[in-house]
Amino acid sequence: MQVTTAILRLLIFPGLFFAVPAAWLFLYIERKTIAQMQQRIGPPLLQPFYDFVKLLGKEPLKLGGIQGLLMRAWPAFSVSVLIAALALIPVFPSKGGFSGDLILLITLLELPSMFYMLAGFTSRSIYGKVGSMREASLSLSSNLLFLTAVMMIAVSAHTFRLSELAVPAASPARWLGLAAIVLCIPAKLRLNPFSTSSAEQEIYSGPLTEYSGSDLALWELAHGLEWLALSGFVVSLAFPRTGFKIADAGIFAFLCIALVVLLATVAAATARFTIDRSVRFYWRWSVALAVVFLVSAVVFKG
Amino acid sequence: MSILRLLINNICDGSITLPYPERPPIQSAFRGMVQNAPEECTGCGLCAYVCTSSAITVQRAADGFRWSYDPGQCTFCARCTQRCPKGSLTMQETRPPIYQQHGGLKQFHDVKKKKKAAVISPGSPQPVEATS
Repeated sequence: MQVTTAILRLLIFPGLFFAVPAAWLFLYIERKTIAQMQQRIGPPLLQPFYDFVKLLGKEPLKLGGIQGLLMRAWPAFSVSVLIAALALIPVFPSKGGFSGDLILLITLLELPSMFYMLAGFTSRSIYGKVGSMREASLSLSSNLLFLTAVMMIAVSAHTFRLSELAVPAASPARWLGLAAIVLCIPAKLRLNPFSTSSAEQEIYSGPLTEYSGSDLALWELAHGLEWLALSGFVVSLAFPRTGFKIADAGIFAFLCIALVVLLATVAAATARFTIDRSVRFYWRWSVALAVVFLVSAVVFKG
Repeated sequence: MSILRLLINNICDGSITLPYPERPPIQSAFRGMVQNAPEECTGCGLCAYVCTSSAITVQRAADGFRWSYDPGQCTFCARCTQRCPKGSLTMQETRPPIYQQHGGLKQFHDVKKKKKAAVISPGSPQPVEATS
């Protein structure tokens, strides 16, 4: 891939200039869906953008030394790695996206969660630390299921290359794996019923309690980008390609939005699990999936 | 499954909130600002006595009294209207107007003591600087 093409894809599509408005759109859909479920009118279309601009105008956190530096760095790192992850998502498998593999994409999708945890510990707030510990516990348990599912998809397709994985094969292992990934997304996005790390009634905003101004704006943006990256990842591995770029893009966008609406509906319909219940939930499903994985590996060995 | 039914009903029924600056219609028996008819008021002070948020005060002077009311402090509980022995207090069935400054809706009536109390400055609500 040429350097200019790579830079254009990172900055224009599906990178920065496409990803940021799309992230705001996804945040809007999430908030609007939850509002509709609760019989509220919900925010206007541009509200996530207004929030972003308003937060940029607020006085930022004034902390000196390494603590201040790190607290400013974590949200910027999160946004950066998520944009890099978006550039990897194989919407158009033959030409679009960077040529990378599944392991790189999973690593980039996992880093924001680690930065989120580190942000809580760096802030030295008791609420931040409790939120970070909860995020760590949840991440450990949900990632077990997530990684098992990813492995299942990769092994069933006999490849880790994203461009090859993006051509959906009608194998039961792939659909089971994708269903398991969808099950993990609420934990990764800190949505109900797995919103223990940012439980506002208990620990304010968890790791983000001490954040304000432009840094908080970047965290909000990172949340929207996470929505985009995770839903895009699932949909890109699932939707059938028609061969026409515009039609593919339309189907991709429609399915991504449908997934956001589905997960926002689940968030509106459920109450928050306790941390031990969340961990137990993911461990059970992980063990069940691991058994299925093992059995299918033995059965379909030849 | 009852939560799903609830969600479907919520979507079908539409939202019950309104975008700013629209406001919902007034219901019957709406409790708005307290209105005093100074010609009826005897300055007994029962309204100020029962007012838990101190929105109503009655200041006595040698030649009469000043009845003052701050809607910004009022909880619209209607205890004053229930306790008024002369029935001079009523509640408006309209929303209080939007105001910009603290005490912007404050109003008062000065009533002079006579054989039969006569009203000196009744009428429409007037903002005051402060009542000490």
